[in-house]
Amino acid sequence: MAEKLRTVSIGNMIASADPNDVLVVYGLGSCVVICLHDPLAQVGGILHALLPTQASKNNADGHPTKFVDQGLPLLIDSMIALGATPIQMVATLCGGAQMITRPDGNDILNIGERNVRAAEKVLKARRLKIRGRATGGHSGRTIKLHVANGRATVKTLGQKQQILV
Amino acid sequence: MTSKNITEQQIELWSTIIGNNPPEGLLRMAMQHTAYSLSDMVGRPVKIGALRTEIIPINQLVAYTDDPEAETVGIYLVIGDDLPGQAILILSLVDAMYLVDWLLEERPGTTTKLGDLERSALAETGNLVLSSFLNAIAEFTESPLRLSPPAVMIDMLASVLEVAATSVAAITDEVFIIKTNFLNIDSSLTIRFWLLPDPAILTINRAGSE
Repeated sequence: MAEKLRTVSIGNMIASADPNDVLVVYGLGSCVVICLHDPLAQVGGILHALLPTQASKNNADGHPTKFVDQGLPLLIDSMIALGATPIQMVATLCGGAQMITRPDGNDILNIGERNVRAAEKVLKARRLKIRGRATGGHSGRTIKLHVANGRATVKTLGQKQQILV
Repeated sequence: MTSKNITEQQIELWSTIIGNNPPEGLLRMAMQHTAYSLSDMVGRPVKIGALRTEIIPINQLVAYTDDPEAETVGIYLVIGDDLPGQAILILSLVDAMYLVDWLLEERPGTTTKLGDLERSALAETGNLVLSSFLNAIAEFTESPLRLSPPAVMIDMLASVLEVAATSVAAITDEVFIIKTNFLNIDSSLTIRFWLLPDPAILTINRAGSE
């Protein structure tokens, strides 16, 4: 079986029912990645969100998958459309690092923790349990989700890849 | 970002700097001035590469790189007063260690890791580059300009670029970048220099042109 790497870019999501697909996020920092997998339906998906919530409705062309609270329901819906069932979904939560101490002291960039909290809140509201996580810290991470078996891995600079789920 | 209260003066100054694409005039002069200052600092000739402005969708930032996991040093600064925005200097880890050797007057290849001293030297480079640039702009425009202390990141390239994306994401889905490279031909050392105007500037400029 030939693995097919599919990059989930910043502010985007991918849902897949192709068992060859390996969804990957490179260099995840303060953003948050929510991996969902339905092992029975063999459907997986990743949301790569930048911000916990949309601060202003004036952002008319704002892509909803930039935001945790708007993006996660879209990911769940996309996975349901591919045959997944929410009650069977397993969640893995990654990211939310504090990459820099912002030079001007403005805390708006230190949003990693808020991103993680927002993801936890939305997952709880949807009754989705978090089975694995790699959150916080000060380093970037590369995350992979294997659609075939739901295996989620994390790798940081200079470290070996670790299996989360 | 300080996007909420953009003044006409700030819009006008950024517009003056951005000008045409490829940007010329004031921006090229300021970049040239910066290259001279950098050359003085490292004691070697430094020239500027192509000067361009680009608008990149946030979701294409990673695709924009050859190797998103490449070990990278990012030196990040925030600009205030009449020119709100941010600046990032981006070097490969190898080039950063090479640069540190120059700064600390060591033989090339001496630096093998970036500890506090080396980070401090890199931060000072960021400080010098951006302050030289801003001084050149301020001299011409007589505008008050201020920069923050630099922050140094050592991580994957995608993580460094994510900082730029996160800082504008609440306002826009695109990153507006004024970019050039500072190059030392003898060593092939390259420092990528990105200037990112406050995202509200882009939004307001677009609204004005529609």
